[in-house]
Amino acid sequence: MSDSISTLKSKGLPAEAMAFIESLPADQGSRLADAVLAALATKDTRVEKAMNNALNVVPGPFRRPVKKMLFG
Amino acid sequence: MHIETQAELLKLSRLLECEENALDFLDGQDLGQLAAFRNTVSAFFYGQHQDSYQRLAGISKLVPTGASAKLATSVLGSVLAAGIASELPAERAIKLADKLPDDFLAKLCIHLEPSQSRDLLSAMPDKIVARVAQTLLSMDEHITLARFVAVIQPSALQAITATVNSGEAMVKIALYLEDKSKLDTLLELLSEEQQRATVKAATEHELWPAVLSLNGHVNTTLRGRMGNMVAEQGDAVLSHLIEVASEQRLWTNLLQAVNAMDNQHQQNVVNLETLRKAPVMESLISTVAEENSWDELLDLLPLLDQAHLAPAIEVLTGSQAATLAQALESAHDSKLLGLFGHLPDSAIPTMAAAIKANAASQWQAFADRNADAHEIEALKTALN
Repeated sequence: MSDSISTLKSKGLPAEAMAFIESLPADQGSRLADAVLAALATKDTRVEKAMNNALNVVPGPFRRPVKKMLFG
Repeated sequence: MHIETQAELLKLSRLLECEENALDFLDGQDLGQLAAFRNTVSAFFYGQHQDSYQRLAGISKLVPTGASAKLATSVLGSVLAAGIASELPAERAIKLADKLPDDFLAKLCIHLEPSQSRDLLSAMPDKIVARVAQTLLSMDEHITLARFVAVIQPSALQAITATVNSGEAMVKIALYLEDKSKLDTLLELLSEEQQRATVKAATEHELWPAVLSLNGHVNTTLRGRMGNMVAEQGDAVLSHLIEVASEQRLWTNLLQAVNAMDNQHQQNVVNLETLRKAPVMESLISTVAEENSWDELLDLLPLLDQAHLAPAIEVLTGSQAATLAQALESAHDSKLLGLFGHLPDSAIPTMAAAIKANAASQWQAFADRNADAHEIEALKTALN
């Protein structure tokens, strides 16, 4: 199993999607898993950036509690 | 690559934010499995941040909608706003949508997760849907629009279709529909002028593979109406269509379309000179055998004049003679009788020899079932 496939599994990609990736020939499965991981990273960054933008409009002293409220 | 695979891979590449052709290696995978994979991954991506969306939606509910709208456009951006909108009660989300500028709302719609936004989109008032749809159309966002079609109210769909004047957009939206059973509804809503525009767009924008492929999903009445419109485009367009069907192996779809046309158009199509070309006829018969669409073909063969029937018989009894067994086994007897009854005398010995060499037992069963049929008397004699 390629690294990217193991990583996706550990990140909780649902079993049916994992099964599809694993049903592909090894090189194709690995390429698809790479693409899913890359997209996941891009989307994480985008949401994180948007969250930070949102936090930046919160006045300084309240930023930390608001962040805690939003992200736990 | 089959046009529907191409469309599915385009949707997946958009979700994975990679180059349009980067996933071409998935060509050949089952379309249903690819779509299921895409939907699961899309929901998984959404689930990664759903908790944050829910918290932000909670905060948003405490702020007046005007202020929320301002925050969404100036601070949150369309990606976060899409997530938050999906977590808001529909009523609140609609009030918010009404205060957002159309271009922002359109971008927000692009980022909506389909499984999470179904209720919101179906509750959205017609006037907002129509406004957003117009913006999405101007952005060539056909994939997003296709998602709309699947969930919005029929009245909203009517409001959108009434304003679409691009045949190209119509074909592309139809191609990207997740649930092709909605195609009938969508096409029925188009005026005759709009339907003609889709046919014209197919020629102008090289969309025949899409149109042919979609044709397989529409009901017979619509197929006939659209087929007649295609036939009225003239011989040059029809010849091109035959070439596309040959290149993309979309013969079954084309045969279904021709079968649904008026008889006069059928006669015209099946007797086009392009069909006499050996590679075209070869592609036709081999695709029919591969997809077991003999009935669709056999309905039309009796309409061929002798000049066109000869190359068809030549392929059927020559390079594709092995397929005769399948035809005799799976085609409807009445349709086979139509073909055999239409054979010119000069073709009887060749057909008899091909049957004897490739489909003797299947012929025997067929002949037994149709012992009284006068259409096969000459063949029976030649085979004995």
